[in-house]
Amino acid sequence: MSFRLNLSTNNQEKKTKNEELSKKDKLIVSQFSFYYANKKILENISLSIKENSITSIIGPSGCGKTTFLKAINRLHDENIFARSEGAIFLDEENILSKKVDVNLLRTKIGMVFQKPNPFPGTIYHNVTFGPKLFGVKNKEELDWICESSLRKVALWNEVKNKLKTPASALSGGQQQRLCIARAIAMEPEVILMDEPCSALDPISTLKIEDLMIELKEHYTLVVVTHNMQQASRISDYVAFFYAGEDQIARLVEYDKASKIFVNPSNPLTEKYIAGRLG
Amino acid sequence: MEARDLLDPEKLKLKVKRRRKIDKIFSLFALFASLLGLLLLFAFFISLIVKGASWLSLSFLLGTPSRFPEKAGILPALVGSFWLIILTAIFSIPLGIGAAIFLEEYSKKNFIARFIQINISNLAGVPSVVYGILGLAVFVRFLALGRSIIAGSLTMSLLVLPIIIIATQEALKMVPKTIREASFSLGASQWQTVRYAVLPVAFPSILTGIILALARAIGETAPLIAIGALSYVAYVPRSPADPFTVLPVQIYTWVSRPQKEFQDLAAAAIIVLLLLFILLNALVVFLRYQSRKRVR
Repeated sequence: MSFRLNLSTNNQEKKTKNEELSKKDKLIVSQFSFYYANKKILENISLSIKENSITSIIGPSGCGKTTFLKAINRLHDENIFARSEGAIFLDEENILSKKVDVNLLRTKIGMVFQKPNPFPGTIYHNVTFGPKLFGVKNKEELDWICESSLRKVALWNEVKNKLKTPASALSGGQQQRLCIARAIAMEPEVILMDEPCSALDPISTLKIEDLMIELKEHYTLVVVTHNMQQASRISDYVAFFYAGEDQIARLVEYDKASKIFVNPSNPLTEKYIAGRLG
Repeated sequence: MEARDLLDPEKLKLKVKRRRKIDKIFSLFALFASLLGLLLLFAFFISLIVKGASWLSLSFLLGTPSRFPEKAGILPALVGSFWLIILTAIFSIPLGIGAAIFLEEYSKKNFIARFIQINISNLAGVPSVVYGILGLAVFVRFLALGRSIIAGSLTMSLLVLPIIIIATQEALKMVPKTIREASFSLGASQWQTVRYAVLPVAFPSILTGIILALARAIGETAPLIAIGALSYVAYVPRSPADPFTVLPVQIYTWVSRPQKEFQDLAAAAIIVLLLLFILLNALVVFLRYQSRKRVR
Protein backbone atom coordinates (compact mmCIF):
# COMPACT_ATOMS: atom_id res chain seq x y z
CA MET A 1 0.00 0.00 0.00
CA SER A 2 1.64 3.22 -1.04
CA PHE A 3 0.09 6.42 0.07
CA ARG A 4 1.98 8.58 -2.35
CA LEU A 5 0.75 7.24 -5.61
CA ASN A 6 2.02 9.57 -8.26
CA LEU A 7 -1.03 10.68 -10.13
CA SER A 8 0.58 12.91 -12.72
CA THR A 9 2.40 10.06 -14.43
CA ASN A 10 -0.77 8.04 -14.50
CA ASN A 11 -2.58 10.92 -16.09
CA GLN A 12 -0.05 11.22 -18.83
CA GLU A 13 -0.55 7.63 -19.81
CA LYS A 14 -2.97 8.19 -22.57
CA LYS A 15 -5.10 5.22 -23.19
CA THR A 16 -5.38 4.29 -26.82
CA LYS A 17 -8.08 2.11 -28.30
CA ASN A 18 -5.62 -0.74 -28.38
CA GLU A 19 -4.89 -0.52 -24.73
CA GLU A 20 -8.60 -0.47 -24.06
CA LEU A 21 -8.90 -3.88 -25.63
CA SER A 22 -5.92 -5.29 -23.83
CA LYS A 23 -7.08 -4.22 -20.36
CA LYS A 24 -6.30 -6.96 -17.97
CA ASP A 25 -8.75 -8.76 -15.74
CA LYS A 26 -8.56 -7.27 -12.26
CA LEU A 27 -11.11 -9.45 -10.53
CA ILE A 28 -12.03 -12.90 -11.71
CA VAL A 29 -15.08 -14.43 -10.09
CA SER A 30 -15.19 -18.14 -10.64
CA GLN A 31 -18.22 -20.31 -9.90
CA PHE A 32 -19.09 -18.26 -6.87
CA SER A 33 -22.10 -19.35 -4.80
CA PHE A 34 -23.29 -17.83 -1.58
CA TYR A 35 -25.42 -19.30 1.17
CA TYR A 36 -27.11 -17.64 4.09
CA ALA A 37 -28.18 -20.01 6.88
CA ASN A 38 -27.87 -22.86 4.35
CA LYS A 39 -30.23 -21.15 1.94
CA LYS A 40 -28.69 -20.56 -1.45
CA ILE A 41 -28.71 -16.85 -2.37
CA LEU A 42 -26.30 -16.66 -5.28
CA GLU A 43 -25.54 -19.52 -7.64
CA ASN A 44 -22.56 -20.13 -9.77
CA ILE A 45 -21.55 -16.59 -10.63
CA SER A 46 -18.59 -16.34 -13.00
CA LEU A 47 -17.34 -13.11 -14.53
CA SER A 48 -14.13 -11.19 -15.02
CA ILE A 49 -13.95 -7.54 -14.18
CA LYS A 50 -11.57 -5.45 -16.26
CA GLU A 51 -9.02 -3.13 -14.75
CA ASN A 52 -9.67 0.63 -14.92
CA SER A 53 -13.26 0.25 -15.93
CA ILE A 54 -16.68 0.63 -14.39
CA THR A 55 -18.68 -2.56 -14.11
CA SER A 56 -22.30 -2.09 -13.13
CA ILE A 57 -24.33 -4.77 -11.47
CA ILE A 58 -28.01 -4.40 -12.22
CA GLY A 59 -31.07 -6.42 -11.31
CA PRO A 60 -34.30 -6.26 -9.33
CA SER A 61 -34.31 -5.73 -5.56
CA GLY A 62 -33.40 -8.77 -3.52
CA CYS A 63 -31.40 -10.51 -6.21
CA GLY A 64 -28.18 -10.57 -4.25
CA LYS A 65 -26.32 -7.65 -5.81
CA THR A 66 -25.30 -6.16 -2.47
CA THR A 67 -24.53 -9.63 -1.11
CA PHE A 68 -22.21 -10.18 -4.05
CA LEU A 69 -20.51 -6.82 -3.58
CA LYS A 70 -19.98 -7.38 0.12
CA ALA A 71 -18.53 -10.81 -0.60
CA ILE A 72 -15.79 -9.17 -2.67
CA ASN A 73 -14.86 -7.13 0.41
CA ARG A 74 -15.38 -10.20 2.66
CA LEU A 75 -17.80 -8.18 4.75
CA HIS A 76 -19.71 -11.40 5.41
CA ASP A 77 -16.82 -12.72 7.49
CA GLU A 78 -18.37 -11.48 10.72
CA ASN A 79 -21.61 -13.29 9.99
CA ILE A 80 -21.69 -16.88 11.17
CA PHE A 81 -24.65 -17.73 8.94
CA ALA A 82 -22.85 -16.76 5.76
CA ARG A 83 -20.97 -19.30 3.65
CA SER A 84 -19.57 -19.14 0.18
CA GLU A 85 -18.25 -21.48 -2.49
CA GLY A 86 -16.08 -20.90 -5.50
CA ALA A 87 -13.35 -18.34 -5.80
CA ILE A 88 -12.78 -14.65 -6.40
CA PHE A 89 -9.34 -13.79 -7.70
CA LEU A 90 -7.78 -10.38 -7.26
CA ASP A 91 -4.66 -10.39 -9.41
CA GLU A 92 -4.45 -14.17 -9.31
CA GLU A 93 -4.89 -14.44 -5.56
CA ASN A 94 -8.05 -16.10 -4.27
CA ILE A 95 -9.37 -13.54 -1.81
CA LEU A 96 -11.88 -15.95 -0.32
CA SER A 97 -9.06 -18.16 0.90
CA LYS A 98 -8.70 -18.29 4.66
CA LYS A 99 -5.00 -17.56 4.23
CA VAL A 100 -5.71 -14.08 2.93
CA ASP A 101 -5.50 -11.43 5.66
CA VAL A 102 -8.90 -9.83 5.50
CA ASN A 103 -7.75 -6.50 6.93
CA LEU A 104 -5.03 -6.14 4.31
CA LEU A 105 -7.41 -7.26 1.59
CA ARG A 106 -9.76 -4.44 2.49
CA THR A 107 -6.98 -1.93 1.99
CA LYS A 108 -6.84 -3.10 -1.62
CA ILE A 109 -10.59 -3.26 -2.06
CA GLY A 110 -12.47 -0.24 -0.75
CA MET A 111 -16.19 0.07 -0.35
CA VAL A 112 -18.74 2.87 -0.51
CA PHE A 113 -22.19 2.23 0.89
CA GLN A 114 -25.75 2.96 -0.05
CA LYS A 115 -26.30 5.68 2.50
CA PRO A 116 -23.47 8.11 3.22
CA ASN A 117 -22.04 6.82 6.50
CA PRO A 118 -19.37 9.21 7.70
CA PHE A 119 -17.96 8.55 11.16
CA PRO A 120 -19.03 10.98 13.84
CA GLY A 121 -16.17 13.45 14.03
CA THR A 122 -14.46 15.90 11.78
CA ILE A 123 -13.95 15.73 8.03
CA TYR A 124 -10.22 15.32 8.66
CA HIS A 125 -10.86 12.46 11.07
CA ASN A 126 -12.96 10.70 8.45
CA VAL A 127 -10.43 10.87 5.65
CA THR A 128 -7.46 9.92 7.81
CA PHE A 129 -9.28 7.13 9.66
CA GLY A 130 -8.01 4.35 7.39
CA PRO A 131 -4.36 5.38 7.12
CA LYS A 132 -4.22 5.92 10.90
CA LEU A 133 -5.42 2.35 11.45
CA PHE A 134 -2.33 1.19 9.61
CA GLY A 135 0.02 3.27 11.66
CA VAL A 136 0.46 6.46 9.66
CA LYS A 137 1.13 8.98 12.42
CA ASN A 138 3.16 11.69 10.74
CA LYS A 139 1.00 14.78 10.64
CA GLU A 140 2.38 16.06 7.36
CA GLU A 141 1.70 12.76 5.68
CA LEU A 142 -1.82 12.64 7.07
CA ASP A 143 -2.43 16.20 5.91
CA TRP A 144 -1.19 15.26 2.46
CA ILE A 145 -3.41 12.18 2.33
CA CYS A 146 -6.37 14.24 3.45
CA GLU A 147 -5.83 16.93 0.85
CA SER A 148 -5.07 14.65 -2.08
CA SER A 149 -8.00 12.34 -1.30
CA LEU A 150 -10.40 15.25 -1.00
CA ARG A 151 -9.05 16.73 -4.23
CA LYS A 152 -9.65 13.46 -6.05
CA VAL A 153 -13.33 13.57 -5.12
CA ALA A 154 -13.54 17.30 -5.95
CA LEU A 155 -14.45 18.16 -2.38
CA TRP A 156 -11.27 19.95 -1.39
CA ASN A 157 -12.33 23.43 -2.46
CA GLU A 158 -15.64 23.09 -0.67
CA VAL A 159 -14.23 21.92 2.67
CA LYS A 160 -10.61 23.05 2.86
CA ASN A 161 -11.49 25.74 5.39
CA LYS A 162 -13.54 23.48 7.60
CA LEU A 163 -11.57 20.28 7.83
CA LYS A 164 -11.91 20.33 11.60
CA THR A 165 -15.68 20.69 11.60
CA PRO A 166 -18.11 17.77 11.96
CA ALA A 167 -18.65 15.74 8.80
CA SER A 168 -22.33 15.52 9.71
CA ALA A 169 -22.73 19.19 8.79
CA LEU A 170 -22.07 18.42 5.11
CA SER A 171 -24.88 17.85 2.63
CA GLY A 172 -25.80 14.30 1.62
CA GLY A 173 -23.91 14.52 -1.66
CA GLN A 174 -20.84 15.98 0.03
CA GLN A 175 -21.00 13.26 2.69
CA GLN A 176 -21.03 10.59 0.01
CA ARG A 177 -18.05 12.16 -1.72
CA LEU A 178 -16.36 12.29 1.67
CA CYS A 179 -17.02 8.56 2.06
CA ILE A 180 -15.44 7.99 -1.35
CA ALA A 181 -12.45 10.10 -0.28
CA ARG A 182 -12.21 8.01 2.87
CA ALA A 183 -12.02 4.86 0.75
CA ILE A 184 -9.54 6.45 -1.65
CA ALA A 185 -7.27 7.50 1.22
CA MET A 186 -6.29 3.84 1.53
CA GLU A 187 -5.12 3.85 -2.11
CA PRO A 188 -7.20 0.79 -2.96
CA GLU A 189 -7.04 -0.94 -6.33
CA VAL A 190 -10.73 -1.72 -6.52
CA ILE A 191 -13.62 0.40 -5.24
CA LEU A 192 -16.97 -1.25 -4.67
CA MET A 193 -20.00 1.02 -4.62
CA ASP A 194 -23.37 -0.12 -3.40
CA GLU A 195 -26.01 2.16 -4.93
CA PRO A 196 -23.91 5.18 -4.03
CA CYS A 197 -26.49 7.65 -5.32
CA SER A 198 -29.72 6.13 -4.09
CA ALA A 199 -29.98 8.58 -1.18
CA LEU A 200 -28.95 11.64 -3.20
CA ASP A 201 -30.67 14.34 -5.22
CA PRO A 202 -30.19 14.46 -9.03
CA ILE A 203 -27.47 17.11 -8.99
CA SER A 204 -25.39 15.33 -6.36
CA THR A 205 -25.97 12.14 -8.32
CA LEU A 206 -24.52 13.65 -11.47
CA LYS A 207 -21.50 14.88 -9.53
CA ILE A 208 -20.86 11.41 -8.17
CA GLU A 209 -21.28 9.91 -11.65
CA ASP A 210 -18.73 12.34 -13.10
CA LEU A 211 -16.46 11.45 -10.23
CA MET A 212 -16.78 7.74 -10.92
CA ILE A 213 -15.81 8.27 -14.54
CA GLU A 214 -12.73 10.20 -13.41
CA LEU A 215 -11.86 7.61 -10.83
CA LYS A 216 -11.73 4.73 -13.27
CA GLU A 217 -8.48 6.17 -14.60
CA HIS A 218 -6.82 4.92 -11.45
CA TYR A 219 -9.13 2.39 -9.95
CA THR A 220 -11.35 -0.49 -10.92
CA LEU A 221 -14.95 0.27 -10.01
CA VAL A 222 -17.77 -2.17 -9.37
CA VAL A 223 -21.08 -0.38 -8.91
CA VAL A 224 -24.45 -1.73 -7.91
CA THR A 225 -27.25 0.42 -9.24
CA HIS A 226 -30.99 0.36 -9.67
CA ASN A 227 -30.95 3.24 -12.04
CA MET A 228 -30.81 2.13 -15.69
CA GLN A 229 -29.96 5.61 -16.96
CA GLN A 230 -27.11 5.74 -14.51
CA ALA A 231 -25.88 2.33 -15.54
CA SER A 232 -25.94 3.34 -19.19
CA ARG A 233 -24.19 6.65 -18.48
CA ILE A 234 -21.29 5.31 -16.49
CA SER A 235 -20.71 1.66 -17.25
CA ASP A 236 -18.18 -0.02 -19.46
CA TYR A 237 -19.49 -3.43 -18.54
CA VAL A 238 -22.83 -4.54 -17.13
CA ALA A 239 -23.75 -7.67 -15.23
CA PHE A 240 -27.43 -8.50 -14.94
CA PHE A 241 -28.41 -10.56 -11.91
CA TYR A 242 -31.81 -12.12 -11.67
CA ALA A 243 -33.50 -14.43 -9.19
CA GLY A 244 -36.15 -16.67 -10.66
CA GLU A 245 -39.03 -18.48 -9.03
CA ASP A 246 -36.63 -20.40 -6.77
CA GLN A 247 -35.32 -17.15 -5.22
CA ILE A 248 -31.76 -18.03 -6.17
CA ALA A 249 -29.94 -15.30 -8.01
CA ARG A 250 -27.90 -16.09 -11.07
CA LEU A 251 -25.90 -14.09 -13.54
CA VAL A 252 -28.14 -13.81 -16.56
CA GLU A 253 -25.94 -11.76 -18.82
CA TYR A 254 -22.59 -10.05 -18.64
CA ASP A 255 -21.25 -7.96 -21.46
CA LYS A 256 -20.08 -4.57 -22.58
CA ALA A 257 -22.54 -1.84 -21.68
CA SER A 258 -22.92 -0.90 -25.33
CA LYS A 259 -24.00 -4.44 -26.11
CA ILE A 260 -26.31 -4.91 -23.12
CA PHE A 261 -28.21 -1.68 -23.56
CA VAL A 262 -28.48 -1.83 -27.32
CA ASN A 263 -28.75 -5.45 -28.15
CA PRO A 264 -29.01 -7.76 -25.15
CA SER A 265 -28.79 -11.42 -25.98
CA ASN A 266 -31.06 -12.66 -23.22
CA PRO A 267 -34.79 -11.78 -23.39
CA LEU A 268 -34.85 -11.38 -19.57
CA THR A 269 -32.22 -8.66 -19.78
CA GLU A 270 -34.15 -6.89 -22.47
CA LYS A 271 -37.34 -7.01 -20.42
CA TYR A 272 -35.61 -5.72 -17.31
CA ILE A 273 -33.92 -2.85 -19.08
CA ALA A 274 -37.20 -1.87 -20.70
CA GLY A 275 -38.77 -1.79 -17.23
CA ARG A 276 -41.05 -4.73 -17.82
CA LEU A 277 -39.46 -7.03 -15.24
CA GLY A 278 -38.80 -6.85 -11.52
CA MET B 1 -73.30 1.89 3.74
CA GLU B 2 -70.40 2.47 6.02
CA ALA B 3 -68.06 3.77 3.39
CA ARG B 4 -70.59 6.49 2.54
CA ASP B 5 -70.98 7.36 6.23
CA LEU B 6 -67.31 7.98 6.53
CA LEU B 7 -67.35 10.42 3.65
CA ASP B 8 -70.40 12.35 4.88
CA PRO B 9 -68.96 15.80 5.67
CA GLU B 10 -71.19 16.35 8.73
CA LYS B 11 -70.20 13.06 10.35
CA LEU B 12 -66.59 13.59 9.41
CA LYS B 13 -66.63 16.93 11.20
CA LEU B 14 -68.06 15.30 14.31
CA LYS B 15 -65.46 12.57 14.25
CA VAL B 16 -62.59 15.01 13.93
CA LYS B 17 -64.07 17.04 16.79
CA ARG B 18 -64.20 13.95 18.97
CA ARG B 19 -60.64 13.07 18.14
CA ARG B 20 -59.48 16.53 19.11
CA LYS B 21 -61.27 16.18 22.43
CA ILE B 22 -59.58 12.87 23.18
CA ASP B 23 -56.28 14.46 22.25
CA LYS B 24 -56.87 17.27 24.71
CA ILE B 25 -57.92 14.97 27.54
CA PHE B 26 -54.89 12.81 27.07
CA SER B 27 -52.48 15.73 26.99
CA LEU B 28 -54.01 17.03 30.23
CA PHE B 29 -53.57 13.63 31.83
CA ALA B 30 -49.94 13.50 30.67
CA LEU B 31 -49.33 16.95 32.11
CA PHE B 32 -50.87 15.90 35.43
CA ALA B 33 -48.73 12.75 35.50
CA SER B 34 -45.53 14.68 34.97
CA LEU B 35 -46.47 17.41 37.44
CA LEU B 36 -47.31 14.84 40.10
CA GLY B 37 -43.74 13.63 40.21
CA LEU B 38 -42.44 17.15 40.38
CA LEU B 39 -44.89 18.11 43.13
CA LEU B 40 -43.99 15.12 45.27
CA LEU B 41 -40.30 15.87 44.90
CA PHE B 42 -40.92 19.50 45.77
CA ALA B 43 -42.95 18.58 48.87
CA PHE B 44 -40.22 16.18 49.88
CA PHE B 45 -37.58 18.88 49.52
CA ILE B 46 -39.59 21.37 51.55
CA SER B 47 -40.13 18.99 54.44
CA LEU B 48 -36.44 18.08 54.40
CA ILE B 49 -35.32 21.67 54.42
CA VAL B 50 -37.75 22.61 57.20
CA LYS B 51 -36.46 19.76 59.33
CA GLY B 52 -32.82 19.63 58.44
CA ALA B 53 -31.61 22.97 57.15
CA SER B 54 -31.00 24.43 60.59
CA TRP B 55 -28.70 21.50 61.43
CA LEU B 56 -26.54 22.00 58.36
CA SER B 57 -23.28 23.60 59.36
CA LEU B 58 -19.57 23.19 58.89
CA SER B 59 -19.30 21.29 62.15
CA PHE B 60 -22.04 18.93 60.92
CA LEU B 61 -20.12 18.24 57.72
CA LEU B 62 -16.76 17.91 59.46
CA GLY B 63 -17.88 16.29 62.72
CA THR B 64 -18.05 12.67 63.74
CA PRO B 65 -21.20 10.86 64.93
CA SER B 66 -22.05 11.35 68.57
CA ARG B 67 -24.63 10.43 71.21
CA PHE B 68 -25.38 14.13 71.45
CA PRO B 69 -27.25 15.40 68.40
CA GLU B 70 -25.75 18.88 68.59
CA LYS B 71 -22.21 17.45 68.36
CA ALA B 72 -22.97 14.85 65.69
CA GLY B 73 -21.46 15.09 62.21
CA ILE B 74 -21.20 13.09 59.05
CA LEU B 75 -17.56 13.34 57.99
CA PRO B 76 -16.77 9.59 58.31
CA ALA B 77 -19.92 8.68 56.39
CA LEU B 78 -19.22 11.28 53.72
CA VAL B 79 -15.64 10.12 53.25
CA GLY B 80 -16.84 6.50 53.35
CA SER B 81 -19.32 7.23 50.58
CA PHE B 82 -16.61 8.84 48.46
CA TRP B 83 -14.25 5.90 48.93
CA LEU B 84 -17.02 3.47 48.14
CA ILE B 85 -18.15 5.21 44.99
CA ILE B 86 -14.64 5.65 43.62
CA LEU B 87 -13.60 2.06 44.26
CA THR B 88 -16.90 0.73 42.92
CA ALA B 89 -16.35 2.76 39.77
CA ILE B 90 -12.81 1.42 39.39
CA PHE B 91 -13.97 -2.20 39.77
CA SER B 92 -17.22 -2.12 37.86
CA ILE B 93 -16.72 0.22 34.89
CA PRO B 94 -13.95 -1.66 33.05
CA LEU B 95 -15.57 -5.03 33.77
CA GLY B 96 -19.02 -3.83 32.80
CA ILE B 97 -17.98 -2.18 29.55
CA GLY B 98 -15.73 -5.13 28.73
CA ALA B 99 -18.53 -7.64 29.24
CA ALA B 100 -20.94 -5.57 27.16
CA ILE B 101 -18.43 -5.22 24.32
CA PHE B 102 -17.86 -8.95 24.38
CA LEU B 103 -21.56 -9.75 24.27
CA GLU B 104 -22.43 -7.19 21.59
CA GLU B 105 -19.38 -7.11 19.35
CA TYR B 106 -17.32 -10.24 19.77
CA SER B 107 -19.50 -13.17 20.78
CA LYS B 108 -21.07 -15.15 18.01
CA LYS B 109 -24.68 -15.04 19.12
CA ASN B 110 -24.67 -18.69 20.17
CA PHE B 111 -26.04 -20.66 23.10
CA ILE B 112 -23.38 -19.60 25.58
CA ALA B 113 -23.77 -15.92 24.76
CA ARG B 114 -27.53 -16.15 25.14
CA PHE B 115 -27.12 -18.02 28.42
CA ILE B 116 -24.84 -15.29 29.78
CA GLN B 117 -27.24 -12.63 28.50
CA ILE B 118 -30.26 -14.10 30.27
CA ASN B 119 -28.31 -14.45 33.49
CA ILE B 120 -27.15 -10.86 33.42
CA SER B 121 -30.72 -9.69 32.90
CA ASN B 122 -31.78 -11.82 35.86
CA LEU B 123 -28.97 -10.49 38.03
CA ALA B 124 -30.18 -6.95 37.43
CA GLY B 125 -33.42 -7.92 39.15
CA VAL B 126 -31.95 -9.60 42.23
CA PRO B 127 -32.82 -7.73 45.47
CA SER B 128 -29.83 -5.78 46.71
CA VAL B 129 -29.79 -7.41 50.13
CA VAL B 130 -28.99 -10.72 48.43
CA TYR B 131 -25.82 -9.15 47.06
CA GLY B 132 -25.05 -8.08 50.61
CA ILE B 133 -25.31 -11.65 51.85
CA LEU B 134 -23.15 -12.85 48.96
CA GLY B 135 -20.60 -10.14 49.71
CA LEU B 136 -20.56 -11.15 53.36
CA ALA B 137 -19.88 -14.77 52.47
CA VAL B 138 -17.37 -14.21 49.68
CA PHE B 139 -15.53 -10.97 50.35
CA VAL B 140 -15.81 -10.47 54.10
CA ARG B 141 -15.41 -14.08 55.21
CA PHE B 142 -13.96 -16.23 52.42
CA LEU B 143 -11.47 -13.70 51.09
CA ALA B 144 -11.08 -12.38 54.64
CA LEU B 145 -11.27 -8.77 53.60
CA GLY B 146 -13.20 -7.98 56.76
CA ARG B 147 -15.85 -5.30 57.00
CA SER B 148 -13.68 -2.99 54.99
CA ILE B 149 -14.33 -0.41 52.30
CA ILE B 150 -12.83 -2.78 49.77
CA ALA B 151 -15.29 -5.54 50.67
CA GLY B 152 -18.12 -3.00 50.52
CA SER B 153 -17.15 -1.68 47.13
CA LEU B 154 -16.63 -5.16 45.70
CA THR B 155 -20.15 -6.03 46.87
CA MET B 156 -21.46 -2.82 45.36
CA SER B 157 -19.65 -3.61 42.11
CA LEU B 158 -21.52 -6.91 41.89
CA LEU B 159 -24.74 -4.99 42.36
CA VAL B 160 -24.11 -2.40 39.67
CA LEU B 161 -22.31 -4.61 37.13
CA PRO B 162 -25.48 -5.94 35.48
CA ILE B 163 -26.85 -2.41 35.26
CA ILE B 164 -23.67 -1.13 33.61
CA ILE B 165 -23.51 -4.11 31.25
CA ILE B 166 -27.10 -3.72 30.13
CA ALA B 167 -26.83 0.06 29.72
CA THR B 168 -23.63 -0.31 27.71
CA GLN B 169 -25.17 -3.01 25.54
CA GLU B 170 -28.12 -0.76 24.79
CA ALA B 171 -25.74 2.05 23.91
CA LEU B 172 -23.76 -0.23 21.59
CA LYS B 173 -26.94 -1.49 19.93
CA MET B 174 -27.87 2.09 19.11
CA VAL B 175 -24.73 2.52 17.01
CA PRO B 176 -25.79 2.04 13.38
CA LYS B 177 -24.48 -1.05 11.63
CA THR B 178 -23.29 1.15 8.79
CA ILE B 179 -20.65 2.68 11.07
CA ARG B 180 -19.19 -0.75 11.76
CA GLU B 181 -19.30 -1.65 8.08
CA ALA B 182 -17.53 1.58 7.17
CA SER B 183 -14.78 0.80 9.64
CA PHE B 184 -14.40 -2.83 8.55
CA SER B 185 -14.35 -1.83 4.89
CA LEU B 186 -11.30 0.33 5.61
CA GLY B 187 -9.47 -2.68 6.95
CA ALA B 188 -10.00 -2.05 10.65
CA SER B 189 -9.75 -5.02 12.97
CA GLN B 190 -12.58 -5.86 15.33
CA TRP B 191 -10.84 -4.08 18.19
CA GLN B 192 -10.05 -1.00 16.09
CA THR B 193 -13.67 -0.87 14.99
CA VAL B 194 -14.87 -1.01 18.58
CA ARG B 195 -12.29 1.45 19.86
CA TYR B 196 -12.31 4.07 17.11
CA ALA B 197 -15.70 3.78 15.42
CA VAL B 198 -18.25 2.31 17.84
CA LEU B 199 -17.23 3.48 21.31
CA PRO B 200 -16.97 7.19 20.42
CA VAL B 201 -20.57 7.08 19.18
CA ALA B 202 -21.85 5.08 22.13
CA PHE B 203 -19.84 6.92 24.77
CA PRO B 204 -22.42 9.54 25.89
CA SER B 205 -25.09 6.89 26.42
CA ILE B 206 -22.65 4.57 28.18
CA LEU B 207 -21.70 7.43 30.46
CA THR B 208 -25.32 8.03 31.38
CA GLY B 209 -25.74 4.35 32.21
CA ILE B 210 -22.63 4.32 34.36
CA ILE B 211 -23.58 7.38 36.35
CA LEU B 212 -27.08 6.06 36.93
CA ALA B 213 -25.54 2.82 38.17
CA LEU B 214 -23.14 4.67 40.45
CA ALA B 215 -25.96 6.85 41.73
CA ARG B 216 -27.71 3.64 42.68
CA ALA B 217 -24.56 2.46 44.46
CA ILE B 218 -24.26 5.70 46.41
CA GLY B 219 -27.83 5.38 47.65
CA GLU B 220 -27.88 1.67 48.52
CA THR B 221 -28.15 0.72 52.20
CA ALA B 222 -29.21 -2.89 52.50
CA PRO B 223 -26.17 -4.70 51.07
CA LEU B 224 -23.81 -2.63 53.20
CA ILE B 225 -25.77 -3.34 56.35
CA ALA B 226 -25.67 -7.00 55.38
CA ILE B 227 -21.89 -7.01 55.08
CA GLY B 228 -21.74 -5.11 58.34
CA ALA B 229 -20.80 -1.56 57.53
CA LEU B 230 -20.74 0.00 60.97
CA SER B 231 -23.31 2.53 61.99
CA TYR B 232 -20.98 4.18 64.45
CA VAL B 233 -17.61 5.11 63.03
CA ALA B 234 -15.94 7.84 64.99
CA TYR B 235 -12.97 8.30 62.68
CA VAL B 236 -12.35 8.96 59.03
CA PRO B 237 -11.30 5.85 57.06
CA ARG B 238 -7.74 6.25 55.81
CA SER B 239 -7.35 3.25 53.51
CA PRO B 240 -9.63 0.80 51.67
CA ALA B 241 -8.89 -1.79 54.34
CA ASP B 242 -10.51 0.29 57.13
CA PRO B 243 -13.99 -0.34 58.47
CA PHE B 244 -16.41 2.28 57.28
CA THR B 245 -19.89 3.65 57.11
CA VAL B 246 -21.66 5.50 54.32
CA LEU B 247 -24.26 8.25 54.23
CA PRO B 248 -27.32 6.04 53.66
CA VAL B 249 -26.33 3.76 56.57
CA GLN B 250 -25.78 6.81 58.79
CA ILE B 251 -29.18 8.14 57.79
CA TYR B 252 -30.76 4.77 58.44
CA THR B 253 -29.27 4.68 61.96
CA TRP B 254 -30.43 8.16 62.80
CA VAL B 255 -33.92 7.63 61.44
CA SER B 256 -34.32 4.53 63.59
CA ARG B 257 -33.64 6.52 66.77
CA PRO B 258 -36.64 7.75 68.71
CA GLN B 259 -35.44 11.31 69.47
CA LYS B 260 -36.72 14.07 67.23
CA GLU B 261 -33.26 15.66 67.02
CA PHE B 262 -31.86 12.59 65.33
CA GLN B 263 -34.75 12.60 62.86
CA ASP B 264 -33.78 16.14 61.97
CA LEU B 265 -30.12 15.16 61.70
CA ALA B 266 -31.19 12.44 59.26
CA ALA B 267 -33.00 15.09 57.21
CA ALA B 268 -29.83 17.18 57.15
CA ALA B 269 -27.80 14.18 56.00
CA ILE B 270 -30.38 13.44 53.30
CA ILE B 271 -29.94 16.99 52.02
CA VAL B 272 -26.19 16.36 51.74
CA LEU B 273 -26.86 13.05 49.94
CA LEU B 274 -29.25 14.74 47.52
CA LEU B 275 -26.68 17.45 46.82
CA LEU B 276 -24.21 14.70 46.00
CA PHE B 277 -26.73 13.24 43.56
CA ILE B 278 -27.29 16.58 41.92
CA LEU B 279 -23.53 17.05 41.60
CA LEU B 280 -23.19 13.64 40.02
CA ASN B 281 -26.00 14.38 37.59
CA ALA B 282 -24.50 17.75 36.72
CA LEU B 283 -21.26 15.94 35.99
CA VAL B 284 -23.08 13.63 33.56
CA VAL B 285 -24.72 16.51 31.77
CA PHE B 286 -21.39 18.29 31.49
CA LEU B 287 -19.47 15.22 30.28
CA ARG B 288 -22.19 14.30 27.81
CA TYR B 289 -22.21 17.79 26.44
CA GLN B 290 -18.44 17.74 26.09
CA SER B 291 -18.32 14.36 24.37
CA ARG B 292 -21.25 15.19 22.07
CA LYS B 293 -19.42 18.31 21.00
CA ARG B 294 -16.32 16.25 20.28
CA VAL B 295 -18.10 13.34 18.64
CA ARG B 296 -20.80 14.81 16.42
